[in-house]
Amino acid sequence: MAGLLRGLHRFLHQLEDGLIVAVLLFMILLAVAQIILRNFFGTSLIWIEPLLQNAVLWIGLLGAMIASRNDEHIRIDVASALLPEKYHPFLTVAVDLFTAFICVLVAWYSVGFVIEEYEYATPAFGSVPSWLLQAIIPVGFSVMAVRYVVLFALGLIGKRPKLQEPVA
Amino acid sequence: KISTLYPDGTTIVTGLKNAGKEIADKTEGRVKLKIYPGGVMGDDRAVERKIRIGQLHGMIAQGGAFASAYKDSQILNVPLAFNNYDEVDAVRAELDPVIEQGLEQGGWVSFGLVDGGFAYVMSENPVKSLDDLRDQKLWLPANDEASAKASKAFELSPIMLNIGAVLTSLQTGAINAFAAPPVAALTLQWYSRVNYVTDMPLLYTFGLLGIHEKYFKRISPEDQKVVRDVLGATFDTLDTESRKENLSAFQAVQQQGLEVVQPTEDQRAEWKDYADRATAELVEEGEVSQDMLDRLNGILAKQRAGQ
Amino acid sequence: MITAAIILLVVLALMGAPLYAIILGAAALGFYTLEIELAVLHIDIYQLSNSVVLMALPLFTFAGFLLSESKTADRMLRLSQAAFGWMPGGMAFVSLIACAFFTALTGGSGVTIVALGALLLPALVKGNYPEKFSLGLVTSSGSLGLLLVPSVPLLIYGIIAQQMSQQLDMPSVEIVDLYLAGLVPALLMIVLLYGYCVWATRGSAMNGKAVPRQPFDFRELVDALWEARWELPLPLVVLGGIFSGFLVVSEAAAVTALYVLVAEVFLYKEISLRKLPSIMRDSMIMVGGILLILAVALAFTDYLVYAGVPEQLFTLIQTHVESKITFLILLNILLLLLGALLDIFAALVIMVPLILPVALRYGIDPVHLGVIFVANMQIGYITPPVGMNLFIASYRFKKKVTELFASTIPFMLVLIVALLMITYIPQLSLWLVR
Ligand code: NA
Ligand code: NA
Repeated sequence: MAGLLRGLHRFLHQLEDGLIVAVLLFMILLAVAQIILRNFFGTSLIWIEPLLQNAVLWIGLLGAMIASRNDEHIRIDVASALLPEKYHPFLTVAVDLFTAFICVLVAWYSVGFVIEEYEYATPAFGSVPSWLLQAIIPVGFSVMAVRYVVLFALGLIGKRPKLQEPVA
Repeated sequence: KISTLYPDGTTIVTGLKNAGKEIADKTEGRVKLKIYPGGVMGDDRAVERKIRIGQLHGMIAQGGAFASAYKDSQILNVPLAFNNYDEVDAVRAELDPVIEQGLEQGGWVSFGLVDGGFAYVMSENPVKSLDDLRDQKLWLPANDEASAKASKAFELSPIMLNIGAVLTSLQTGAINAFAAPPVAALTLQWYSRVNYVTDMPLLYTFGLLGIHEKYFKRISPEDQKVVRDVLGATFDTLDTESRKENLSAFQAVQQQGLEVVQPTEDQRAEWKDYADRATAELVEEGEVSQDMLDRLNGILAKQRAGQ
Repeated sequence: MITAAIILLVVLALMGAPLYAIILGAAALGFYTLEIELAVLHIDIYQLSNSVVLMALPLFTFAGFLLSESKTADRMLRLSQAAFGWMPGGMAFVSLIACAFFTALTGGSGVTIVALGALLLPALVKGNYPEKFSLGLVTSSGSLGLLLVPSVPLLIYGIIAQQMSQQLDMPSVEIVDLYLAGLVPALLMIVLLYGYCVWATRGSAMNGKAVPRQPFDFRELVDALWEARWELPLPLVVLGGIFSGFLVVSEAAAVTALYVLVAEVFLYKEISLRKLPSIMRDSMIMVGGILLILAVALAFTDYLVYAGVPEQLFTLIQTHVESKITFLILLNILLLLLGALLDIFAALVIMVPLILPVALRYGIDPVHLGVIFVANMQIGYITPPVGMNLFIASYRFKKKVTELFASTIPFMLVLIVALLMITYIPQLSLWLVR
């Protein structure tokens, strides 16, 4: 059981990493292709623009999911700068619980809406269904919710990674 | 709660706000209109989603935005269907009620159509024939299936951009032609970057207010009647006023220095030929019913014979 | 009940809850009180896929990460030293120029101090500059290029302003205009700082031990140019592409990303293909954090507009603040405080939707406002308690934050003078634009 969970965990990490790299590469290549088409062939492909715009959404949520693994999100870090380190676990436990709650809230309503969108079957562009592009939102917030629950649990047993800034 | 892309201060938004006051008075405050102008609530698709969850209750939008509720509401948007406003008026006198009824069956309570004017081709270089247009870097709105289909039928290779990028792209030459009603070309400043307007009404446009039936039903039948009466009268006036604005806007773009280009009879015939093919495709794909198209053509034939 | 919930949110924010969760919480609370189904949060977050410019953010950030992972900083330093080292206060000028360009290219993510600081500080000290002066110079230069094309904060301001432009009666905010507007203010900052550097290191101020001037070496300049040959065309691609109108901003970003990728991986061969995916991933984590905040800010803005808050705020401010000048003074104080407390990206997405409509009514040009905003935030990078440059420099140079702050004070004062000029002389920003 534990082995299976670890395997799943590793697989999820690799899937996220692979997807975000693929989306970024794809974005660069498609955008450059569109420039070449427009400037040298005086035309453009209708599906590139909406696809690129949705890629931004996907990068945003995939990046946010990955950043949630160790809680590397932007924050106003006043308390942990002022309080001695021994009080930090109290901060993180409360904060993680709250963050998990918010993610669950968004995921819940988001799932409901995407299911509805699926039933309406509106295409986003061409024959790409709108629900498929939007699905990254409930998926992203669900994964983030799970991660914050895990962080909360790790905080209770004193094994949570420290609060950290996202960059440099 | 009603959203619209029309900016605050425009005839439509002001008219609607006044109607809101009248309705509040007559229903003793039981029904109020709150208008969110200028697209604050997002584009048509976002607004439609917000109507679905009840954050908003209605929207004023281009006719096409309601096509999913009643496909035949697109009948007035058939390319090159009309030669002049008299023909539009003859058709609308008969088909407006049909469209409103169709929309109501599709879930949208509406209160009359508002004239959006004809869309004309405006371009840096003169465009007389279809081949002329094919040589231009023509803009089409991104994410718009209907115009994408039409451009395919006309064998054009357009450049898709969001509406916000049009002015810059005209300035930099990334595009040098577009089709739009003169009012839009004026208010969005697009006219300042082109030299010619082709005197051929490519497409008739209209807007309308749709309030979703599930929210409209929540108010009492008496109040519903008040809302229908007041908004019906308001939109009649707005329709007339918008028509005037559209006519004078066509004069205004000429005064701003755009030269009017007249295609020859042969060229017009070629345009019409492609337009008919595009229309046939619309029917084939079920976007517009053959029935409705026949009705349109019937009214037009009668009108043209009468002249 | 509502008040308690708001206080709870503020407390959680101060306790270090991720900002996105706080903003979402606030938006959810707001919509809940208006009895709107919370699926609206989803709809608003999905609006992230509705911007034509936003694509530039991941692409520019990725290019910035690639540049900071390769030896670009060394080449840039060598080149600016060869070109400007002969001037009085030459090494200080070199630091300012190199930092400004590097920050502009890497998007103000704090990597400037990591990549350039470690090279600049020893060079300055070896060049006979006092250590405290050098520390202050490097720490405060680390955010100098935020007003230079293709700065990411200016881009984000533009994106938010564009989203709001429809609802407000305002001139359009083109990203290109913002970049043009930032040019003169950025140069002003560099010139003023350089002036201060020359003054502070004059002979009499340093007990006669003036900084020796380097002779100009043409051969070295040619060598440095040759070494940087693959990166030199980059500003041309970005600037030329954007200002000629050949490329829109998002396309310039795509070309930049592809260009830098080819240059660093295939021409300089400083980044192996094997390492590339992890750099892509790391850069996108940072982008993900910013995009998430942007997305939830859309939800919060939606609530504000839906509830009519901007109008109320304006009425409130108008009853207390009469003139444009008073408003601008208050704005500067507010933004400096916010810059001290908040991360630059967070400050932008939270404050722009609130301040922009109000500022417009005082007759402030939205392009000018963008420059004021970013100029304030730039100073925020070196003000405690949340001065990112102070933290990074402290980590990088192994100095206490307090010591670093003390060393940056004179530079901060110079920057504040520049800020006041930028704020009260709109022409500095606008003469290239309007
Ligand atoms: Na806008
Ligand atoms: Na700060």
